[in-house]
This record gives sequence, C-alpha cells and structure tokens, in this order.
Amino acid sequence: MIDSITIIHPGLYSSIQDAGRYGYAHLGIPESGVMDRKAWRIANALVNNPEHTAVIEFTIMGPTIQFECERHFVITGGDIKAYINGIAVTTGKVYIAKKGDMLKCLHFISGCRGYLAISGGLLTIPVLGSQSMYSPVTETSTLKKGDRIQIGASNYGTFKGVGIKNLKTVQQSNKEHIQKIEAHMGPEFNVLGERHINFLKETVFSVSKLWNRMAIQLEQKLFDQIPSIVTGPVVPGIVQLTPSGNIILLMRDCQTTGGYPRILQLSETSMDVLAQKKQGDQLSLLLID
Amino acid sequence: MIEDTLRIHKMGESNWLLQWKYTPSQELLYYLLAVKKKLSALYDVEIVHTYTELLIKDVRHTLDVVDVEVRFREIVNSITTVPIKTSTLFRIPVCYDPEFGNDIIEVSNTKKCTISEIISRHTEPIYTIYFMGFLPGFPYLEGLDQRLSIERKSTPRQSVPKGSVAIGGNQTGIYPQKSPGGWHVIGNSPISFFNPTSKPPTPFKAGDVIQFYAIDKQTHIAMKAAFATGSMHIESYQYDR
Repeated sequence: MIDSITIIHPGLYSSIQDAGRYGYAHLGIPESGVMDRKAWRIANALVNNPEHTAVIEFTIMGPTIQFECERHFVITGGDIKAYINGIAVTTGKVYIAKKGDMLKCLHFISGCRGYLAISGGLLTIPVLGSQSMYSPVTETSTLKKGDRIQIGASNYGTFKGVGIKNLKTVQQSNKEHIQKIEAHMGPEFNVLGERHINFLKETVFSVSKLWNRMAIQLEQKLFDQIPSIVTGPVVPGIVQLTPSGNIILLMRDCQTTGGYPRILQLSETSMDVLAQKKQGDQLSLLLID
Repeated sequence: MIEDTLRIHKMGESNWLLQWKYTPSQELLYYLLAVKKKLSALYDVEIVHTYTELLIKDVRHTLDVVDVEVRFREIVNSITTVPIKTSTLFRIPVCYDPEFGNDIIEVSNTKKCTISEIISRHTEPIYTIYFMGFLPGFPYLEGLDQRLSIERKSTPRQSVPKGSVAIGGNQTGIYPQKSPGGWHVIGNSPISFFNPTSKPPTPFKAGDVIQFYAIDKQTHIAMKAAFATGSMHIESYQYDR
C-alpha cells in the first residue's frame, strides 16, 4: 500500500501547484505555479519540505481530504476554517494526521487562497518540468473527487526552529491588509497621459467578478480609447489596458502573448498580495521606478 | 537598418524586453530568430519572441542595469548576416464541410464568394509560422489571402472545438484545443497539434511553413482515427526558401 491521500471533496477550485513551468512559453504554454509564493514557501518550510515542493492550492472553499498515511501537514495563506477529525486547525500551525484522518477545509475568514503542504510532498508526475495543474498540459486544471495522490517520505523533524519563526510571519501577513500594489512602468506606459497616470495613482480600485488564476480585472475603468498594439509577449504581473478601458492584471495562468498595451508590471511581492484578493476587495496602485 | 530601431525595456524585476520599431515581416522574423539563437547560445535563459519583440525572462545579473542594456545591444549588433533558412513544410488536412466549418456559409455571404472559392483561397498560400501564443501550440500564421480578410466576430464563441481552422482579421489559425474564440471557423483538421507527452509537444517551430489541403467528411473521420492510433503522422517536407 503506497502512502497517499484521497480527495473526498475537491472544494471550489483546488489544484496541485509548484514553482511553475519554465522554458515552454515560446510554445504558448503558460507558467502556472502557486499564486501566493510567500505562503507556499512558508508552508513547505514549516513541514521541512524542500523549497519547491508541490502543494495543494485551494480557493474560496477548501477540499476535504483523507490521509491514507501518517504525515505532518500545515495550511498557510488566507485564514481558513478547517478541521482535522473535527478538531479546529489553526492556519500556520503544524499538525500530524494519522492514517484514516479526515481534513476538512471550509471557507476563509480572511484572504481567499490556502496552501496545504504535507511533509514528504505530493508525488504527481511532472509534465514539461512542473507538477502545476493546467489543462491541456495536465489532463485537468483542478483536483476531482476520488483523486488519489501519492505522498513522499517525510523529512519532518530533521531540522528545528523553522516552525516558530515562520508562524509569526504567517500571522503577521494575514493581518496586514496591505492595499498598496507596487507596479513598475510597463513597455507601453507612454500611451498614458498625465490624467490617466493620476487616475491610476489616486483611484481606490476593487476586484471585479472576473478574477481567477489567469487574470484579475478591476471594476474601475479608464475612460479613453487606447489603441491595441501588435501582439507581444506577456508574463504574470503585466497590467493590460483594453481598448474599452478595462484594467487587467495578469496572474500565473496567463497566456504568453497579448495584444493590449502593457502599461504596468507588478512587483513579485504584489503578486502574493493579489493572490489573496477576491471579488469586491479593494486595492490601490503604487507606481515605482 | 533593423538594428537601428531597437529599444530595450527592463520589464519588472528580472525580465528584459527587446523591441524593434519595425514592420512585422519575414525579414524581421528571421532576424529575430537569429538574435534569439545568439542569445540562447550565450545565456541559459528563456526567450519568447513575437512579431517585433523578444522577451528575455528571469535574467540574473550582477551588472548595473545600464550595463546590461549595453551588453544586449552589443550582442544584437554582432549579428550581421541572417542565413537564408531551410525550414519544414507541413501539409495539414482540413475538412471545410459546414458541419465543421460552422461559419463558412456566413463568411461566403459576407465576402460574396462561393464556398469553393473560400477553400481554394485558403489552401493556396504557404503560410509562415511567426510564433506560438494564445493557447499551447497555437501558431500565429502569416500569408492569408487578403480576399479572405474578415472582421472578428463581435461576440466570441464560448467554445470553439479542438482542431478548428479559423480566420479573423488578416490572420488564419488552428485551435489546438477547445477554447473560446472570436474568429470565424471555416473547417476542422483531424490532427492533434498539441501533446504534452510528445517531445517536443507541438510539431511546429517559428519559421516553419504550412499549407492546408481540403478533405471530405469521410476522410476526416478515417484520418482522425489513424492519427489517434499513431498509424498516420503529420506530413512534412524540407522547404527551401
């Protein structure tokens, strides 16, 4: 019997993610990878996993998982209501699950994405250098009911002290309601006039109903006709401006090319902040450079 | 000429964008491919090109930003001749039956031509693959007969089937997967153009060329089965330009 976990209920949008897929963008293949890298790194550190170990990322409503082996686990990211065999689980705290134990992840109290790291990691087969789920590279984009995932040998306990130090960081990052999203100038920043730049600097934006792993569209629009560009390369973190004035922040599963002016490029740390933003959440832009 | 139009942007923390203010053309395509080859030989970085740009991803350097730009310029300027390329020609079967080409009748009405005229105008040119983007394995093709140029649909289709061959604006393309799409679907190819477990996952490379040929419904069904089981492979030839 191999060590594994079984997905009893997949939750709303749960997938296996790691650092992402590199070296294939020229074939039109997105990077993918975890949305909140900080939460992911902390999760792996807490259970003594190597830095780039794959985890389960879930959104809005978490999965229910049965352990078929004994392993340490931790949940990081947004503050989630979760239970192991009916006992409440605290975000950022390491627990041990015994064979047959049931981990139930429910809704978030703050944030919207959670990361479940299991000591030993998830042993799915990498496709094009990554375990990150993205259809059609992997068969499906999300975990399904009944999926069984093999778990590697645990390293938990091989080094100490990481837990306590990082727990503080986790709790802190959940409490800070950072609204400032740092952005560098993008290649087409110059399509913007002073009026547009002031609008970007002064507006309190909110996340529209169009938000997912590909992109976050902001509710507020720039009311001006901005022409399209010849299709050019894009990466996660690029901010596009559509001809109808919509502002689109590209996230990890974004396409590799696009034809809208790339007005800004978000900083790496801003991407982590945005990963925890859902419809209706507010943010403002801080232009740097 | 081309090299004088180069602009370099640092994009975010570690990406660099090389932009040529030049009209997209085959001349520029082969120049970009030569720059890409040179850069790839010097550095272990990921490079994505489109019509007029090269994106160099995750550049790690200890140099000052200004010096990185100078270095990129030096490399680009060291490219003096672009070799005339031998590439691969792919022959792609397409069934233009309205059952697959959901929009072909509408296109024939809009463009005031017959379906057989659409087919002959679409199968005649040799299209050049400029780059891949939009979807995994989706080739950006140049060479559409201007008489087939048609404005994109005002409302995109929610789901365009895998293998769809479509036209939009001055472009034509093949959807390697099911996807939403705003182009007019005029046919379907029985070939699977993207397979993540194949090496490489797509047969196409930038600089290669393709030509479509028409097949009927029965042939489409038979070919689809033959391609799926591996008893048939995509037809390709050496192509000298």
